[in-house]
Amino acid sequence: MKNSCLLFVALIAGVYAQAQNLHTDSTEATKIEYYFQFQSGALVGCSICFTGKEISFSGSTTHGIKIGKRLRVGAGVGIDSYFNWNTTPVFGSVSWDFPGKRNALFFQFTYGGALSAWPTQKRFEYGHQKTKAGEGYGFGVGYRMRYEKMQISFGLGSKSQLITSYYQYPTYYWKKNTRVLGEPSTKIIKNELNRLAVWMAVGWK
Amino acid sequence: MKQLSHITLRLPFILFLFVFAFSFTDCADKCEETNHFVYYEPIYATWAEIKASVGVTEPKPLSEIGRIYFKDGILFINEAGNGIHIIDNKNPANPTPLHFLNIPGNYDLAIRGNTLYADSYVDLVAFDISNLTKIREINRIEKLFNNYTTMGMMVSSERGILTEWKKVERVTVNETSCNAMYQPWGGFYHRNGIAMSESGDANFSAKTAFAPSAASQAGVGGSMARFTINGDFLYGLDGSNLDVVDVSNQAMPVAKNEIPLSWDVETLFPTNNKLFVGSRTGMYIFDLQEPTKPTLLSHYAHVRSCDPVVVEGNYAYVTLRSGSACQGFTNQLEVIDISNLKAPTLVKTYPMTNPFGLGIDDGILFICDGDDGLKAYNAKNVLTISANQLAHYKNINAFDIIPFNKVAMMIGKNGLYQYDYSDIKKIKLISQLPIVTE
Repeated sequence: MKNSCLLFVALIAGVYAQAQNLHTDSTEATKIEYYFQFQSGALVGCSICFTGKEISFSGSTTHGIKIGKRLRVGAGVGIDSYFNWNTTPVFGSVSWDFPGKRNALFFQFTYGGALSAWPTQKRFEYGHQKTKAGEGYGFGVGYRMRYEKMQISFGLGSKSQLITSYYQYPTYYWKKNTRVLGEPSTKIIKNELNRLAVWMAVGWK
Repeated sequence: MKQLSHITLRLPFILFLFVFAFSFTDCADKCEETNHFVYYEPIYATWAEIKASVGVTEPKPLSEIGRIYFKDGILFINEAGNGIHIIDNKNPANPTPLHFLNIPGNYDLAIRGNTLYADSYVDLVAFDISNLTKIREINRIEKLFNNYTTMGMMVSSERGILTEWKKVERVTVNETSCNAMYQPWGGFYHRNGIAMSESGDANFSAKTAFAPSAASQAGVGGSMARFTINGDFLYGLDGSNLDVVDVSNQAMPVAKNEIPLSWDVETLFPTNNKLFVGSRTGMYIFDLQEPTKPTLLSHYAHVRSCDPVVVEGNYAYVTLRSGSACQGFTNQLEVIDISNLKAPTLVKTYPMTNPFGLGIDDGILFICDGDDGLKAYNAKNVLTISANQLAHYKNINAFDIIPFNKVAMMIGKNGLYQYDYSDIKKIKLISQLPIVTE
């Protein structure tokens, strides 16, 4: 989380500085418009790294408002697949387009959490109690091309999702001549899933 | 052209941001594992400490269910793991606690003449009880029992004997490779050797029985015991073995033999120089003509369940009980014809709720049916036992019983209950000593 915050600050600062330096469109009136996009792509990384990289699916839809020509603020929901887990992320999204006539480079940052996480394949795990999805964030750069009110973009970035699994194991001891179930031992595994994200998006505005 | 030059100008900055951004992450999973270990450390006592704590103390309230033994008007009630309550029961309507004999690791007892034999962990200890106000240890066979598993672990020759378990908690947090995660049985259940297996439990329920035998100067025991005396010999179940101890010289018990039986043996009942051994899978009948070398006459098999046995005349009465330790799903009374000891045959079964110990005296059969209470039947006709129920005391827990001389002494989770059955049509409760829980 600390890393993602630092990164967010760095991106915002960078975007702000760049916007100041390029001083284009500074006089145009601020216009607010609805936008949406459907995004689909691949997550590249590894859970079991000695077997090599894994490539899995990522898809989402984002809806929000476009403020002026550069800034987009929205919210989205999607589905991500990892080696062991599937998640349904819900996130807020901020992106900034660099100046350009119709096509533009942009930065994007998303932050949120996942509604649920479930294993990609059924498996038995001794002592498993529950798995909860936690926070997730992503950032990246892309290139957006517009035709009329349609837009299509390609991007590359990073994505991170936290998944926490809880386990409980019985512990026994003897009380007199009876075996007694004692306080259980527990294990909590926080799994941070880090991936390189490559995507393509199509949308309106 | 102008736009292209803009992009070209911005590229170094964009690349810088891109590299900066990616420096914060990589594309591999990171795992942090937080373990909260709870385990139970064995606490050992030295042999010297254990021996030093053996002795008579003031009477104290019954606090835990145990085996019972009766001799010459004195009732001995074992408090599992701690010792024996000695109760003057000459007047069953008013049982009077006399002493508590502190014996660490004690679960069974038997008496011959004026000598009480009791286990103390792996030792067999002999006490002189000729004067109940001055009970004293007179002898000890050290390490007679080699299958002591009562506390779930064997004896350590270096540390002494396991007497307690102490809870220990430890928390560790460490980053781990995610490669090792999500493996079945990947927990720490088996670490430190603390977690117990079901097989440990199996040895535990070894229970045995006593029976009256005037010739051997022995007392009367319940059906759940694992010590018994026949003639000049004490027989004790030691895990899957039968230990034979010569007690012809009461003060000088001598270990004579150790005979392997079966992993699931539980109870002993001697009668007419025969030894009936109850096990989870059946009943064994041994001939004791040669006391140190019992000879197997036959094996009567039944479904897997806990199984105490008593014998009267030509019939053996066996209760089968289900439960986590006993396994099985059967709860019933089986009546077995033993007129031919080499070929016992089932006569009839009667459904029960969850029967534990039982006792029979002159055709009056008492069955401790667990939480369904105590049941008494006229068993003179073995084919109509259930139709001839004499009494049913509900709302009590019944564990084991000694019917003797028209008084039935019954122990259960609620305490000691005594019933007068001199009139079988009016069996009545005459006294109660409650178990006091802390």
